Amino acid sequence: MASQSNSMSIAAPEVAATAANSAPTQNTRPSRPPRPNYRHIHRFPLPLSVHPLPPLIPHNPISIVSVLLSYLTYLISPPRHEVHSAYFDPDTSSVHVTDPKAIRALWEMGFFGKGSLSRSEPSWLEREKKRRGLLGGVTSEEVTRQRRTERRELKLERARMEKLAIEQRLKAEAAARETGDASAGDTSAEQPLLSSADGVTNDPLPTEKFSLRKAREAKMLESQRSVVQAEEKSTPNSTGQMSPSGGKTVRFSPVVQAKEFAPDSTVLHVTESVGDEHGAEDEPLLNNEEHLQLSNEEAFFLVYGLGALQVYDDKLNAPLSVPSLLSLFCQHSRFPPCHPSSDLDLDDPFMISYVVYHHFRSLGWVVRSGVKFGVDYLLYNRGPVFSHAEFAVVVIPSFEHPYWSATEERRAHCASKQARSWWWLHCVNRVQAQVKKSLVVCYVDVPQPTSGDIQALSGDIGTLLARYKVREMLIRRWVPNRTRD
Amino acid sequence: MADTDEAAIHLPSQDSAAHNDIDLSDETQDFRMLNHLSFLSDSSATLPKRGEKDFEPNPTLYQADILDASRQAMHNALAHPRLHNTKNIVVGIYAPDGPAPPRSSAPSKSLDTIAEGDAESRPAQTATDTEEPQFKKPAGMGVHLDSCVYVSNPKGQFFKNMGRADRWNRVWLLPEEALYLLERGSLDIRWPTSATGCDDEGDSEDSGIPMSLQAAYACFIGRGGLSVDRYSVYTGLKRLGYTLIRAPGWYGEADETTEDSQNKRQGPGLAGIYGRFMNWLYSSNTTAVGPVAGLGIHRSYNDIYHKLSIIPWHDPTAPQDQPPQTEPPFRVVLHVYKPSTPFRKSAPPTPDFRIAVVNARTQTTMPTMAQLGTLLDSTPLDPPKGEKMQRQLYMRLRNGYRNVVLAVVDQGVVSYLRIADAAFGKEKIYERGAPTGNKKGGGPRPKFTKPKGR
Amino acid sequence: MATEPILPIPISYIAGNYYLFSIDAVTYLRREHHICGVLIGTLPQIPQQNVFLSLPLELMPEEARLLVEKGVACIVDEVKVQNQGMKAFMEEDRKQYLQDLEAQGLQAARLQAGRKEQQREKTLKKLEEKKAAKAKASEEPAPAVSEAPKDEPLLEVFADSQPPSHSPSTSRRTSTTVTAENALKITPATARPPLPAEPSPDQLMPLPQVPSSYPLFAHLHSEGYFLSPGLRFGCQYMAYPGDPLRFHSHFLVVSAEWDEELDLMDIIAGGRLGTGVKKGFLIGGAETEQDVRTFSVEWAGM
Repeated sequence: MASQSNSMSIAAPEVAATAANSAPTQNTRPSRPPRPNYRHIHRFPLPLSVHPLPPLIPHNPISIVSVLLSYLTYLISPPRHEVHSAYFDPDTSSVHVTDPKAIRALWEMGFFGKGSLSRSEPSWLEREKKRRGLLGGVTSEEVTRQRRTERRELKLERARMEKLAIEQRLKAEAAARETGDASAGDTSAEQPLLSSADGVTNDPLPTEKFSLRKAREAKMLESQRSVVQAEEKSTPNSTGQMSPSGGKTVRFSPVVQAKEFAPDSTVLHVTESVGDEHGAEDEPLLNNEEHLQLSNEEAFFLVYGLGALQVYDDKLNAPLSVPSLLSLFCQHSRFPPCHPSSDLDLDDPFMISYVVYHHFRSLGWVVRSGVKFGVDYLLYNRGPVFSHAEFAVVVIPSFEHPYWSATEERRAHCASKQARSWWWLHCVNRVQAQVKKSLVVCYVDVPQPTSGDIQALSGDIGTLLARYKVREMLIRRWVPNRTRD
Repeated sequence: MADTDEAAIHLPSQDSAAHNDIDLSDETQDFRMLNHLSFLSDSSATLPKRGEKDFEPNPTLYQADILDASRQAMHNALAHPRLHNTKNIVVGIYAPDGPAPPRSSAPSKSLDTIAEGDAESRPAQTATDTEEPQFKKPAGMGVHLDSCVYVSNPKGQFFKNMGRADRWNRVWLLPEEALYLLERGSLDIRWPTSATGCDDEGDSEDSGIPMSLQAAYACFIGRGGLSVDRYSVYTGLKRLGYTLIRAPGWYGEADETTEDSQNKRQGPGLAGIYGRFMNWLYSSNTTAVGPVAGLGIHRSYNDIYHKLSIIPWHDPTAPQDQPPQTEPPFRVVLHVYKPSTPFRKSAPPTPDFRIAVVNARTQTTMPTMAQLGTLLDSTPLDPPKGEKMQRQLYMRLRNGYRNVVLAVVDQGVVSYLRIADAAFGKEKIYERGAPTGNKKGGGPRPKFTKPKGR
Repeated sequence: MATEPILPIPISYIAGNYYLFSIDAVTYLRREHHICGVLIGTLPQIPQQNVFLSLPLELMPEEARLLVEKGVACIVDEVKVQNQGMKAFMEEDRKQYLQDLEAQGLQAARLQAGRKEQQREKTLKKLEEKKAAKAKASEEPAPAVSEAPKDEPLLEVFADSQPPSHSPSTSRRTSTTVTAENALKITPATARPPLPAEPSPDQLMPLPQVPSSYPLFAHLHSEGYFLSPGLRFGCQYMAYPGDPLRFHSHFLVVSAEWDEELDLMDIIAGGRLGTGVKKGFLIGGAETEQDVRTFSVEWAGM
């Protein structure tokens, strides 16, 4: 649902506009806009254009002619290769794309990068428009925020109810103590005795538990009451008829709404004050403050793998060569970045993570950051709009070659790079289980350095990459209770 | 958009088997749930639903009383003794020095047999010269050398898949078997007269003194390779009805020879040659500084992906150059059979699961690729099979081509991890075409005709 | 309920781990010192499950160390105790011990028989009541609740580590005849008795070796938390605000060295894990020997 409203307006602006016109107020639910045609929008898996040959049918001379003809046309006027531009930002250690056309192309064809002000797809402008009431609907960010606020409220309510119950019980116990031993024994000891005798099975310890559901019900009741009161005041004669619609109006009663939005108002204030300077009439002139942010792996893949991007240095106004881009990314794979002069380390974090990125991309996966789930990558089949990522990948280097264990120093170095604690593995695995993903540990075997590696920076990156090797292990909890037959 | 991945958390699971994680034994349960059970009606004993717990302590008497009741219930449950009815008691005699013939028969022979089965001189080297590594049999006894308890009246179901009989019809138990049976109240183990300071007379070794649980732990844990971690795994699975036997790796030997590696040794096969040919065909000479996809006109996305595949990946089906040299603790030590698998202890079938046991306190880091890789290579090829796997990409990947179970033991708490050699490289998903576009399923979709670029 | 164990409680050291076999010690340490350990044995009453386990109780080295430092317990080399103890076990000891066991077994048999009878009576009574109820439909149902707790005294006979009193008068139902040959055989949980309760000095072991997370463990324990091994849940310790029997854990605890470099990704994963199960992810460590500091991480979404 979130994704729908999120990218809806970009895919079909006219639909969004009509939705905005027909549903200008918050109190009427905007009709759900039709789902954009993702299969059409994202029909190209990579930001490269392909020109298939017409089918060749050997016994049909016309087909041969048409094939030759297509060759000829490409020869005479080769189709232009689209190369997008971006620049490297050393502060965020990432690559920025500001050209709207490039942003759309990189997002739609292969889901590269993320909006600098959005969770994923660059959607800040749309959100901002919606927020200012220019468009209808709610963005996924707002839905999430609302859901969280609601939950927080409910939790507070539950805590209050629990506290109240404890106080009441303490009072009762104290009172029982005062009224004398005989009766005290009756009231305070009887109940536990009963519950201990019956076990927990048939008596789930009544008053001490509060579920969120109960809190929600209580709140519903409360707000319903206030609605009733409000309606009684305003329309005293309609009291008899309001009950059937009562359930629905509760959600939008002024009481609940005021509560729900209260904590957010402070957050929104900052941006609002900025918006106020422009005034409502300036809103169509809203500037897009957002750019597309590419991770260094994504950028290098687009440059080196596909040739669909060129990256500019933020100082020099010329695109960086592929070897110098690699060198730059390697420097920035550590914190603080290392000196530009240092040689390429084969176990440089960028090299290792790029090998994995390239590997999964070359198999057709859409590879995106998994930082939100505590992993290195998420693997999407075709793309995030089509399906959830089933696989979450963590990358761990491996040093199998004897070179790495030749000296004590190297052994210690490799051990520190490989060492991952058990609790970490179990932790990450549990997180993936919570979000219904499968954990993949992707080991990258780092080759031994050779004299040719220095040249890699100016020379053959492909040969270097081909000396790494990946091995994926799928790890998941084994629950013996469930594999018995 | 990535947030839809978050939203997925709240959806009912489509694929519950893969992700469902609720396990009652994860947490301490309230022993009051046991209260309605008594030791007389253990046949009808079933487990009640999990009880509710409080969030935090509060000063009410009410809460204190419930806690007291819970503790009392736990105390009562654990104080319950292991009782044996005289009619169906099974008695075992502890043999501290390992298998030996009965005293009454051939007193002269007993000495050298005992020497052969001496507890200290038994590690791997004795095993290497026996033909059948799975069961190290000393000559004449036909029982396992690590056995240390014998039962003269083997009654009951347990001996179907435990113990080995010698020619005097005594069943010899391994330390884990003996301890497990004692613990569950199914075996009364007696101290041998020789281990006590009591008068030694008559033919019987039985001193009549029952071995306590405490003494049994002291005697059996640490014996014949039985660490408490291995024992915890053994009993944990036995309690669920699994059958377990020691794997050759228990003694540091190679696991059963993996037939598949021999079958495939002839070479890459037709498919492999074709693959190499295709790789050669598609290999571009632009990999040095890119673009790897090439500079010319792209005929199809498949071509581009072909060219992009320059990172070597491990193929678990490829023949291995040499038998894998596993290193402890990343070595299969237990073979596990499902309760439903027909099991004959004289001829154990192929195990359903292979388990390596790791102590999380001594081996504090997760295994390296070399450790885990050789562990997996030591298991036979177990590729995704069946119609369902054929259809479902994610299922195939989750199944993998080889698999092993790691039991990571942290101070008595065992957590099991299934490790599979996934081989993503074998699934070229770009060839599969577009998914149908709904967000619910997990990948498995019928093939579509590829959406060709225009 | 339980009898107080004699202090210091001997903790059995067997093949690198620490165990308790006496239920009185287990109950006492849980109640008085908030030490829970992990039950690893099969519960003989219901042996085919892993939800409720039984003795022995495995203690983390941290727990064993804490108890020794408090002077509540000592570590004994159990293998040595058993070997030496049994070698020193003489014929008269044996006779005495077997006699005691037989008395206990007799007692158990009587109780069992008595209980059987009681149950039979109960069913008979119920049948009668049913008949009566059929006759008089308005009559109140049988007070079944009051009968339930009668299980407990039966179990409690074995709760004492002391051998039960030999006099047959303690048996509540003398009507059932139990002869010596029907006496139940008993596999005792602990080896003391018959072995001497006090370990000899040469059987004592040094302080347990503990991991570097010990200061954090000791700190949280001193703050009133109950701690248990946490690996299965993705951390080092689970910290409970009260007895885990009755409370859910509040924190997933991970220890770090004070100047250790932490991977931010690990913190994200930890925070997510904790928040996902409504717990805090707690990282802590010792700044100096005495000063342990703890930080709670909560995943706040994005």
